[in-house]
Formats: sequence, C-alpha cells, structure tokens
Amino acid sequence: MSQTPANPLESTSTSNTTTINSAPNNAYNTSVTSATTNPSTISTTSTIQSSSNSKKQLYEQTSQYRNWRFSKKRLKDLREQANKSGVERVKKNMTEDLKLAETAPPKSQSSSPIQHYQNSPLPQSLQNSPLPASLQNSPRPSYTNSPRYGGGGGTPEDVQFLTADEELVICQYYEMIIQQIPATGFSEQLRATAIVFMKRFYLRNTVMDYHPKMIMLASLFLAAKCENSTIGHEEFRALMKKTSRVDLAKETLFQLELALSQSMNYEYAVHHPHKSAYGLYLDMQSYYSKDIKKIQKIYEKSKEHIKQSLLTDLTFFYQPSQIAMGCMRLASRSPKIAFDFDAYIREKFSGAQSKHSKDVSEQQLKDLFEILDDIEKTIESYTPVDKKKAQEYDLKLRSCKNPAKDPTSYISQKRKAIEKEEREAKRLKKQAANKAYQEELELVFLNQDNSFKSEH
Amino acid sequence: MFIEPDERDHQIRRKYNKTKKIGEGTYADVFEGTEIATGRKVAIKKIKLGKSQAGGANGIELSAVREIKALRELHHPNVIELLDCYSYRGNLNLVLEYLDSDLEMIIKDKTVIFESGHVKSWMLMTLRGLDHIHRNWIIHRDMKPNNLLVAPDGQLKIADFGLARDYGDGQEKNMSSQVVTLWYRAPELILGAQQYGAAVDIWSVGCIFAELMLRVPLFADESEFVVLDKMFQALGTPSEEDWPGMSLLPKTFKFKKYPKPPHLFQAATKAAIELIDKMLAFDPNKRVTAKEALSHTYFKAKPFPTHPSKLPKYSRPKSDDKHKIPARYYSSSEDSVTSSPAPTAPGGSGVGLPASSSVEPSSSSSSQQLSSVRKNKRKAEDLDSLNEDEEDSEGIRDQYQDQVCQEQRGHDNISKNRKKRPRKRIARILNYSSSPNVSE
Repeated sequence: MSQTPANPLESTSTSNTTTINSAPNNAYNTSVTSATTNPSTISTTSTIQSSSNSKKQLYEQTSQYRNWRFSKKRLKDLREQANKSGVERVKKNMTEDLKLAETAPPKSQSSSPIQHYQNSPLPQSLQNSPLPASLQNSPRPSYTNSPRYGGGGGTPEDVQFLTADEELVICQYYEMIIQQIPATGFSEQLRATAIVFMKRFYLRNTVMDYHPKMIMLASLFLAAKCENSTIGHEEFRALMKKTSRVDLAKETLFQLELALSQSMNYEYAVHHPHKSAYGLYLDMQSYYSKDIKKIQKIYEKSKEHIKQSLLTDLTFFYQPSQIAMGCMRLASRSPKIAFDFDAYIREKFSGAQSKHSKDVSEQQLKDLFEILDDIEKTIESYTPVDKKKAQEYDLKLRSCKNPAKDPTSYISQKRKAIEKEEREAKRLKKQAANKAYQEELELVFLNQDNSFKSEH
Repeated sequence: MFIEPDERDHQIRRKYNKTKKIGEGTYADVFEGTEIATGRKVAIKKIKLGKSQAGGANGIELSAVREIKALRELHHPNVIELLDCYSYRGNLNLVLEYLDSDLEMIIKDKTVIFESGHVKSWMLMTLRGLDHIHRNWIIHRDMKPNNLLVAPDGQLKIADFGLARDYGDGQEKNMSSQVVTLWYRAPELILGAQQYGAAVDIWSVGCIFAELMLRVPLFADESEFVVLDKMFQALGTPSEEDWPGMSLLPKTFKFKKYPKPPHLFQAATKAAIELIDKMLAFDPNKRVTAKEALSHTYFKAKPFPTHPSKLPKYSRPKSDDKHKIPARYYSSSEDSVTSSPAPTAPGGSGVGLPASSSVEPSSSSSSQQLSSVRKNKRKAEDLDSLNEDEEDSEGIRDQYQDQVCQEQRGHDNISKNRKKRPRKRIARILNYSSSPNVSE
C-alpha cells in the first residue's frame, strides 16, 4: 500500500542511511540538553543516549518518520502513480459525462462551472478564455470547448492531460504563495505546516481533482487548528478574500478540510527544522563563546534557508534536525560570515572534550557530511517557480479537470440524483416501518383497552 | 498499488462493525463495535461535522483535531489507543480501544477497598503514560480520575486528549489558563498564567494521588477562589520565597495567610507523603516531573505495586448502564480553549456523592476536613445501599438480557459478600490519626 513504505530510504544514494540517520540526531540531543533547558527540538527529551541503538528514538516513533519519509525514487513513483490513476479516472468520467451530455437538454451558461473553481489566480486577460459565442450554450461539457482541441467536438482521448511534473509545478507555485500571503496572524510554523500538508495531499491526489488553490486554503485553515492558532471560518474566509481574492463557500472549505485530513491519513503532527536550528544556535554558543555575534548571524541566515528548504522535497527525505544542520552549515559558508561549521561538528562529535567520541565513528561523520552536502545542494539549487510556467499549466489544467468534481457537470448531477433517490428510498422504507410499528402499537392498545373494559 | 484516499477509508470502515449506539454528545456520537477480523471490541466515536454546534460550526472540531493529532503520535500501554480514523458521508470516525470503566467509578464504588499496593500501581501506570506524553512534548491539560480509563486486564489508560496541545515550542505564545477541570487545576492556572508547561498535569496527578487515598476529591468546589483557598489551607499559603514570581501572575491578589498545617495524610508512609508533597508544590518549577516521580523511592519501597490484573475492578450497577459508559469518550470541554468558558466541574452524577457536598468548604484545619469527609463517607454508604435496592428492581425489568443479567448478578453477589468484611476497615482507614499505618 502506498501509505506504508516498507523501508523508505532503501534506495537513496547513501546506502546505509538508516544507521547514520539517528546518529546526528542522537548526538545532537544530548548536547542540546546540556546547553540549555529550553526544549528546542522534539528529540531533546529523549532519554536514550546515543549509545543505545536497541530502543527506538523518540523521533522514530513519530508519524512523520514512520509514514512520510521516502527515497527519492519512491517519491517520484508516488507522484506518477497519483497522476496516472488520476488521468484514468478523469478520462472515464469525461466519457460518461459526454454520453450524458448528448442525451441531456442544453443548459444555460449561468449554471455552468461554479465560480470558485473557475476563479484562478491568473491575470484577468487570461481568465476569460476566448470562447466562441456559438458554443456558449452548447450542451457539451465545458472542457470540450477548450481551445486546446479546436474549440469543441473533441473526445476525452484528445485531451492533453497534465504530467506529474507539470502538476508539481502548479503545486509548488501555491506552496510559494503560502509563504507570501500577507496575514500577520499566520506564524512561520503555521505556514510551514500548511505547506507540508499540501505536499502530503498531492502524493495521493491530483490537481485534476482538486485545484491547488483550494487545497492551499484548506491547508492553511487546518494548519491553524493544528498549530494552536485556530481561526473561525468567517474570519478566515474574509481574510482569504482580501489577500488572495478567493470567495470560498463555507461548505466547500469544510469538505476540503476533510478531504485533506483523509489524504494525510489524519496525521496532523508535523515537525519542522525551526526548533532544531534554534537548538543548534544555542549549542554553538556554548562551544564558541567569543563568536556569539557570528553565530547569531548564522542563525538569522539559516532561517532563510529553512524557508527555502520547505519549498523543496527535503522534508520527505531527511529529518528536521538534519535539515536544520544543513541550513546552518550552508549559512556559515556564506562569504560574509565564513565560519568553520565542520570544525564545530568534529569538535562536538570526536573532539577531546566530546561526550560522543566513543559512539560516533569516523565513517558516521563522513555519512553525516554526505547528508548535509545533499541538503545544501538541494537548497542552493532551489529556484522559485516560474509564474508564467505555472500559469501555462494552470490553463492546461482547465481542459482536463475531473468533471465529477464539478457540481454542475452532467455526471455529478446524475450522481446526486442517484444519491437523492437512495436517500428517498431509505426514508420511505423507514417511514413504512414506522407506520407499521404505530399500527401494531395501536392494535395492542386497542386490545388492552378492550380487555380493560371487559374486566370492569 | 495506488489506492485512492476515498477507497482506503472505505476499506478501513469495512474492518469494523458498528453494533449499537452507546452515547450521544454535542459533537460526537459513540458506538460500540467490533473489529471483524479479530472480534475485538472497539468504541467508534463519530464526530458530527454537518450539524452546526452551539458555538457555530467551524469544520472539524478543534478538540477532535487535538485528540487525533496527539493520539496518532502516542503509542504506549498506558495511553488509550487510536486504532483507526476514517471519514464516511462527511463525518469523521475515530476507532478507539473499548474500555468500560474509569478510575472515578472505582473510587466512588465504596464496595472496593484500596490497598496501598493498588494506589501505587495506579499511580505508576498514570505516571508512565504521562511521562510518555510529556516526552513527546504534549501536555494533556485535563487529567482527572474520570479520564483515566481501566481496561479489562487492569491496565490504566490516559484518555480524552481534547484539550491536549504541544508545548515548549520556543515561540512563547500565550496559552489559555482556562484548562483542566477545576478540582484538578494547578494554582498557576487559577492565577491566570498563560505560560506554563507539563507541571500542570503533575499537579492534577498529585490531586488524583490524594483522592486515591482519601476517596474524595482533594480540592473540590465550584469557585476558583474557594479551591485556591482550600489549597492554601491544606498546604499552607506559599510565600514569595516558596514560589518566586507568584505575585506577578495576572489574577493574583492578597491571599489569606494560612500556616503550614501538620500533614494531610498522616496515615501514609513517609515516601508517599514526600512524593505527594513534590507533586503539589506550588511553584511549578519545583514540582517533580513525571520522569523524576517514576524514580522516586515510593515506587521502590514495599509494598510493591499490585499487578494490574489483580487490581480491583468496577462492577457496574445496572441503573446507570446507559448514561455512564459513553460519557468518558467525550471531551469535557468541546470548544476551543480560547473562546470557551471554563470547563465545567464534573457533576457528581452516578453512584457517588453530589459534587458540592463532597467536602464542606471552609473547614479551617485538616482534622475538621477529615471529619466532614468521614461524614460524607457515611452518606455515600447510605446512598450505596439505596442504589442496591434500585438494582434489584431494575434486575427484574431487564430479565430479557438474561446472559448479561446473570453475569451481572454474579458480580453483585460477589460485591455484596465482600461488603460485609471491609466495612470495619473503611472505618479504620478513615480514622487517620489513631491508626497511622493502615492506609499505606
């Protein structure tokens, strides 16, 4: 099953990741605890010292470690599977919808695709796709009208579907938007959680079913609850209307929230590099008391890198503490700071004063540096999504949306009708049963009444 | 293979069989069910999302989000297990371990005699579960006997995470002080602290510890300030030295000064008294942590903690069959902490004492307090005998449930037989000052 990758790190480039994975985290735990009483990382509390590998690390018990950690290949496969099954599903629904459309009477334009699904973040000029007036009242579903295949008459086979990579670009665009939404109430942590929620959601879904803009909003709404900054739906919707020009119906928001939860396996706890970075910041000060100003700069700079790291897939590959260390190391390399971070790590893990020298071998250190190198490389090569590209794919998306998710499409109307019928049938059945029961009851009372009379 | 999220939830749903509704609440219905493959009994909590609630619907209930978030991460023998989650027709369903009694019921069941090994065992399990929770940087914020469920094998499980949240995230964000049921609420919360930590749970455990020895809630009242006053009476008003920073708390005022009285639990062993004192330290920074408490000599000294399977169980009177069981699956306060009023004090429903009369207010010395406790004990016993009569008449009505009924009667007989012997011992235990070594 897709949600439980057996050994998620099996095919990463670093072959024996599992053993080192815990090493930096471990060693780092103890030092943080010694440096400060502040709870700076989730793993600080771990009572298990680095020497004991028999018992599971606290972080290894989290749902993030158990279910949301993948090898690079596995992640790619997951996305491709989601895309492939999505395309099949949409095709099937389109065919059915078309069939229904041919038999159905023409519907008026006013009832076609609901506003919020249509309301994409594209500039106004692009939003009104050039629909020939003659097609405005056509009974054919809107996607066949798309200019992509000659403005009508095409079959689902002609539709150009988005590829997994193209889907990813659209998603990444909206993840970026999450960090930019001008709402002071949204903390860094809340935004980070919302981004991770979105990423997890699209491992099992496709943008053809759920537009990322909608999921972005649902993610923010749910993340607020998870990060102890709950916000009422009215206030939230007003805020979103103001900041991202989406008028979201209350019911849609709640529906999406549930769909989001479902796809995330109801695992709401997300761990981010922020706390670990803070822990490292405190720990470094205890090693280099003279360089506190420099360390402060490193910490500030590392925050930027953490922000960038959230927009990459690193959260699926590495532990938060590893990402934090990578970000600090990258920050200390910047020419203005030029701090020897590797020396700090060596001092910490194998120096004369180190508490960990017995537990951390030279090979483990080498592996750690390899992980850090990979993290830094990923962050350095990160480039923000090209807005034009995102818009292009978003346009393409319009012609390959799943008609079953559009409440005005023939197929979803038919489904609604069937559901209604079922409900009605159930209601009638219940009514009949109730009536029968009442009659029986009356009969009993009647008899009792009679017997009562006869007795007296 | 790729499985659509919808399909996966259907698969999960089909793993279980809902048998009957056992409770209804403002935001959730609770069903009894079985896991089809194993026959294991489960409780299915269906969270209503469609219906608007009193405070106005806001999607998935915050307390449900909190509960799921915490329980998905916590796996420990002394924490209730969330087996599965699924949504169906727009509702969210939580599949939980089925547990049919809680510590409150056992405390109130006056037919059960607590030996010191029992108390130690319950404390041990509570602290083990709590340590696991705290280790995961979660605070429970509603520890009370009613939320400590007891499994058929005697294992105690901490439940109801509707108020739980993570703490110590370094963001220094303010938290609501309107948490934890009043009787178990730590002094810093009553004084309005908005920055607090795991110590609030420890205070509650200290109160539970005392309750296990006294068989009545330690600081029971409906008003925050009477509760606070009771704390000061029982433990002595803390000085600025005892609790630095106390005077800086938002709701602080000029307290009435009570001297530190002779100890409340004279019958307990030295180790037990020491531990309870450490849990009920006014200064949260001086209060023991769950981990420290676990390595306290109390748990190493004799008598050793009783094995869970040998702990007394609750034998359920039929009269409150319907209402009692499900209640514990609800959150005591459903709404968001910031917007909701204070969690209400637990109503003294069911067998025990009426809430307000359990300890009479303003008894100035501990001995006076104890005498009132004793008085209430007697009241409770009278109540018990009343309940017994009710049970018998109820039994006749329920004859169609023959099997269940027979089982129940078996229980009743046992407890009735048991009752004769221990009466004397209750009296002895209550007589704290004269027989110092009985309760420990």
